[in-house]
This record gives sequence, structure tokens and C-alpha cells, in this order.
Amino acid sequence: MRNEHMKFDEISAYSDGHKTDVFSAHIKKCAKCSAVLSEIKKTKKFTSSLKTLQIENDLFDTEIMRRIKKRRLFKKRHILPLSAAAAFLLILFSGLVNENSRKVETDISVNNSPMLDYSHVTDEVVSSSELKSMLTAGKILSDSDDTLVIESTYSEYRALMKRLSIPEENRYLKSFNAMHLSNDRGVNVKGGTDPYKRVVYSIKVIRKK
Amino acid sequence: MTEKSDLEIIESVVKGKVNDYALLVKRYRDKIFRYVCGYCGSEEDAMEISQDILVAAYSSLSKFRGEAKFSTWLFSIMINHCRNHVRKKGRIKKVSISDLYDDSGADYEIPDSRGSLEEDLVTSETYKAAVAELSNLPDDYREAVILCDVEEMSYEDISEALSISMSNVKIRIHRGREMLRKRLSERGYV
Repeated sequence: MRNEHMKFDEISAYSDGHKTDVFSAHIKKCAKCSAVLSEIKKTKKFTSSLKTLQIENDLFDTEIMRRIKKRRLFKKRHILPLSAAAAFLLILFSGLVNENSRKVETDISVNNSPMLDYSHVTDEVVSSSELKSMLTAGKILSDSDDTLVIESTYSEYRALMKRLSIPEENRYLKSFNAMHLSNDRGVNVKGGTDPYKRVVYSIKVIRKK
Repeated sequence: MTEKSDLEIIESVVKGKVNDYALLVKRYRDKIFRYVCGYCGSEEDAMEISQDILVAAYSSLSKFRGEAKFSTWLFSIMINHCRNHVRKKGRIKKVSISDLYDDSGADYEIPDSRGSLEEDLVTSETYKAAVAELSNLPDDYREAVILCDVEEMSYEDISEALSISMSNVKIRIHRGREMLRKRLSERGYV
């Protein structure tokens, strides 16, 4: 049994459930400490009256959701131009690199057609015949062990991306990675996403064994 | 059907089901509102600040790693927002309880009988007196007292939300309570 009075901090912690047998025994016997505990409990009850507060305005949630959706659109509007600007810089940079290094040009650059080299890595396991059957307007320019190069319209390219399950949001990223590969191979990168223009895409695939 | 956990909702929102965020809003809006009201001292401001907090939390949702409880993470955003608000607006106006129920037209009063105070204190209007008294506490103490006595958070969670040590949490709670108790005692309420 504790003889001296408990400190305020100890009684306050006790009121929060931090109890020990020694303190419990003391509180039972000591009128002074017991009175302090009672005052602390009343003080806590006074403060906890804030718990009666509730938001009764239905528009509160609606307004938050409206702001969130607006923010989302706002972000998207900025992300796309930024991605486009980054892609443009990359293309510009890779063009300069090619200009300086003059690596061996591939069949594609010799082809001299308006080109856009978009490379994508897919985990899809596809055979050559399956890939050929996916193209109607386009044609396969080269077909190595792991890389397929097609000349196609933008719309057919998009359909192919969908078939190969390459998500829209990954396309920029993957094209960045692959463009570095393309530059190493000396492929010129130019062109655009005109839906009627025939452009060149390279797609990395995992072959069926 | 069991209620979705916070983590399940967050996963779903991050994957693109933005409307699911409304579930988190519903779950936490009153808690946030109470804290903001107690800390900033104005119901009107609290409504707007609470919305800002929930929008800010949405924007940072992808950064939530699940290392702490979602509520603790959300409350740390809430605490920072409130601190910034008070900093911008200047120190909140201190109000005395006696100012609130004099003849000048306050529309509520603090129950005055010592004996029945415990039962009477929790009325729909008493919180205004609590807000007024809390406004007299130093910011640090006010934060800790509200988190403990209104939000019913554990010392550990408060320590995490405020990024301070456990011993500091205890000091702030106990000193804040002691100041409150003295003021209420001077007025004969406790």
C-alpha cells in the first residue's frame, strides 16, 4: 500500500486506464487522491462533450467528391502534356544522338517512310502466325527472336496494344525504355500519331517455344 | 455483409474506383470535424478545413504505405492542416466560459449544479463551452487533450500522429488536463 499521495500525472494516467494494483489500492483508501480522480473524470467528460458534434450537412460529402473528381481531371490534363513534352524531348535527344553517332541504319530507316518508333515490352506469349493474323492493314517489317517490327496505322497499332494487353498507362513508360534500345540500334525516330498515317512500331514479345 | 476495412477501400480507390473514397469520408468526417472544431475554435471554419483535409488525404493516398494505421496517418494530415490554419489566421481567440452565458444573449448555459454535473455536462450545447475552454490551452496541450479525450486515441497512436515521444504525449495530456481542471474548478464546475 502506497502511503504518500499520488502525483496528478499518475492519477491522470490512471483515469486513462493505466492502472496498477498499488494505485488502485491507494485510490480506494485515500480520499484526497480519489477526489482528484473524480475531478479529472469530470474534466474529461466536459471535453468529451465535443463528441456530440456531427456533420449534418449532406452536401459535405458531395462537395468533397466533386473536388476530388475535379482535381483528378486537373491532374490528368497536366500529366498528358508533360508526357508528350517528355516524349518530344526524348525524340529530339535521340535524333541528335543518331545524328552524331551515325550508327548503322536499319532497314526501317532506309525505308524512308514517315516513321514513329514505339517499342513496347509485353509478357504476352504469341506466335508469328498469331501476330500476323492480328494485322489487317499493317505488315510485318522484321521478326526476330524477341522483337517484332510492324508498319501500321495508328488505329491498328492501338488495337494490337489492346490485344497484347499492354495497358494504356504503361505505353509511354515502355516506349521510353524501348526507345533507348531503338537508338542503340540506330533507328531514326520521327512521325506522329495521325490515325491514317502508316507508321513503324517495334514490339518486344516473348515467343512461344 | 462485412464492412470493408480501410485498407480494402484504399486499395480500391488507388486502383481507380474513386467513388469508394466516399466510404472513408463517411467513416472519418465526424472525427475530423470534432478535432478541427476543438482545435480551431470555429464550427464554420471547421467545416471548410475538414473538407480540405479529406481532399488532401485523397491526393496523398497513393503515398500511404500501411505502416501505420490509416486513422493515425489521416490524423497527422489533419493535425498539420489545423496548425497551418491557426498559424495563418493568428492565434485563436481566447474565450471565457463566463462570456458565453452572461446576459448578452448566449443561447446556452453551462449546467451549474456540482452534484449533477457529470450527468448534465454532456448536452448538445456543452461542447461550445468545451471549445471555449480548450481555446485557452497552449496549442500543444490542446492537440494532445483532444486526441486523447475526444478521439479516444491511445498514447501510442497520439505519439505517432504528433511525431513526439510517449513521455511527451503524457506530459502534454496531463498538463493540459490539469490546466482545464483548475479553470473548471475555479468556476465551481468540478
